[in-house]
Parts: sequence; C-alpha cells; structure tokens
Amino acid sequence: MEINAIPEALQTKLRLAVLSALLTGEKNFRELKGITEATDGNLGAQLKKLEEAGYIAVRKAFVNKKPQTTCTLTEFGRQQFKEYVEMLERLFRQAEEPRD
Amino acid sequence: MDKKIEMAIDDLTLIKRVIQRTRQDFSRISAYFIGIGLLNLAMWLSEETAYMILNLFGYGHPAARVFWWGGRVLLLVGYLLLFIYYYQKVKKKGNEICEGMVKIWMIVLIGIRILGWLYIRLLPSGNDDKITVLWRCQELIEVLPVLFALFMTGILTKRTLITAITAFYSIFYFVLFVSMKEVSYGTWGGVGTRISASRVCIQYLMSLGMILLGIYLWRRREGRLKETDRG
Repeated sequence: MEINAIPEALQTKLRLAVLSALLTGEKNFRELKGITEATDGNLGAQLKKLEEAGYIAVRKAFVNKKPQTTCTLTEFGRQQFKEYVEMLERLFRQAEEPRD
Repeated sequence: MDKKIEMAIDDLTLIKRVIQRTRQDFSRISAYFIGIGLLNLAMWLSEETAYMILNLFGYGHPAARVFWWGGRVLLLVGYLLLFIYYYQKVKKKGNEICEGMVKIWMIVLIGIRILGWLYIRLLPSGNDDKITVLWRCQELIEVLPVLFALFMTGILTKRTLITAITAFYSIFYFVLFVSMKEVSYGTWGGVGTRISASRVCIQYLMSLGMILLGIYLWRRREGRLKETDRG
C-alpha cells in the first residue's frame, strides 16, 4: 500500500477506530459505540461503508427479542489493515532516517 | 513536521489506544461477578433457612436437608452455567485477560466446593477440641483460594483498589479467624446457632463482595477516545 493510494475505507478516524476495535475479536453495535463514542447514525453509516468495501462482516440477529448487530473483521479487512499499519510504520522509519 | 508523518503518528496513536482500550475493558465480565454474588446470596439464604428449621423443628427435619443441599447444588450448577456462558462470550470477543480471569475464578470456585466436601468427608467423627479446630480450618479451604483469585484479579486488571481492599480484607479475616468469635446464625424465628464470625465474613465476601466487584468493574470502564479521534 502506498501513501497516495490509501483505500477510502481507511481514510476516516472513526472507520479506523472500528477496524482497530475489531482486531481483537467480534463486537456488537453497542460495544463499538462505547469504544468510539460515535452517534448511532454516524457509526451505522461507517459500518455500512466498511461492509460494502468488504472489510467487515455484519450479522443481524434477534437476541432476547431485541435486534443485535454484530461485526467481525473479514480476512480481506485484516490484510488491508495490516498493510496500512505497515505503510504507516514505513513512513515513520523514513522520517527517522538521517537525511544527507 | 511533514503532514504525512503527522497523519501517521495520529493514526498509529489512535490504533494503539483503541486496541489497549478493548483489551482493558472488563465491563463484559462484570455480570459474571454479579452472578457469582447472587448465587452465593441465594445459597446464604437457603443455609440460613436450613439452620432456622433445625433450630425450630429439631435436627433431622427433612426440610432442613432440602434447604442445606438445595443451596449447595444450586451454587455448583449455577457456577458451571455461568462459566460455560461467560467463557464462550469472552472467547468470541477475543479478550485474553477476561478469558484468563473467567478460567481462574471457575477453577477456584468449583475447586473449593469439591475440596470442602472432600475435607468434611475425611474428617474423623467426634466432638473433642481437635475435631472442632479441624472443622474451623475448613473455612481456610474456602477463603484462601478466593483471596488468591481476588489478588490475581487486581493484578490482571491493574486496579490497585481491588488489590488494596483484598489485602485489608485478608488482615480483617485472619484477625476474626484467630479471635474465635462467634455469632448467632439462622436466627429467623428467634433462636440461633452459634457459628464463627469469620465464617459469616466469608459469606459477606462471596455475596456482597462479588456483587460490588462486578459493579466496580462495570463502572470503571476505560476512558473514552479523545474528541479529535472521532471521524
């Protein structure tokens, strides 16, 4: 991944926070809301974008007669996220290297 | 500083903070501790009822046995169900610390019930001072592993308050234990059986203590992300 070709899915802080939270395992909507402190509408919209881009899988089910949305990171999402972090680290290293 | 580098630092900080926060969120196992507390509270009530029946209707009354054993069976089955439910829950969520804590507590809680039962079975029968002391030592089988698990919980969750309160409770408990103080038990109905105060102290720890621990873990969730971190 290159700095000039960052996928759109990784370009907002909220989406990045959602992906980081899902790295450690699946989370439901309420948990993601607690972690990111985003509004329902904003979080819902970003989850939809991530799902459309294939980064996350969204499962909707009824638990105790209440609707529950559970999100998991897909293999593609994990790979993209990994590449993005590697790119950030590369940028970091380049900045630290002494210039002639 | 280069804009790109600034962005990289920002993003890496955000990722690190979110991961740290999800790993240190123990709120999802708070209900596990509240469940343990409620089960012990139910066991306590059932034991008090058993003692009350013994005091009012004499030893050997069948209802006393029902309450005595009913409470214990309920506790053991309840522990197993809690473990199965919460272990699956934390395993799916991928929080290793929570997973470790659920395991430690279950080994301790089920272990003390089995060891306690074995200890009573192996005790020689009789009514002399030696047997009385051995009976009283049964408490230690129950309390020492629980104190160990509480210290572990304090260390794993990095909550100094849990560790400090456990240390304070340990001192208080051992003072009560060696003082050999007794209190009335099963006093509903006016008559009571004298049992050791330290035994009652354990019941407070296992019921109210566990409920308070659960509430504390729920309330002390990690701090929120900064305003600027939101998209």
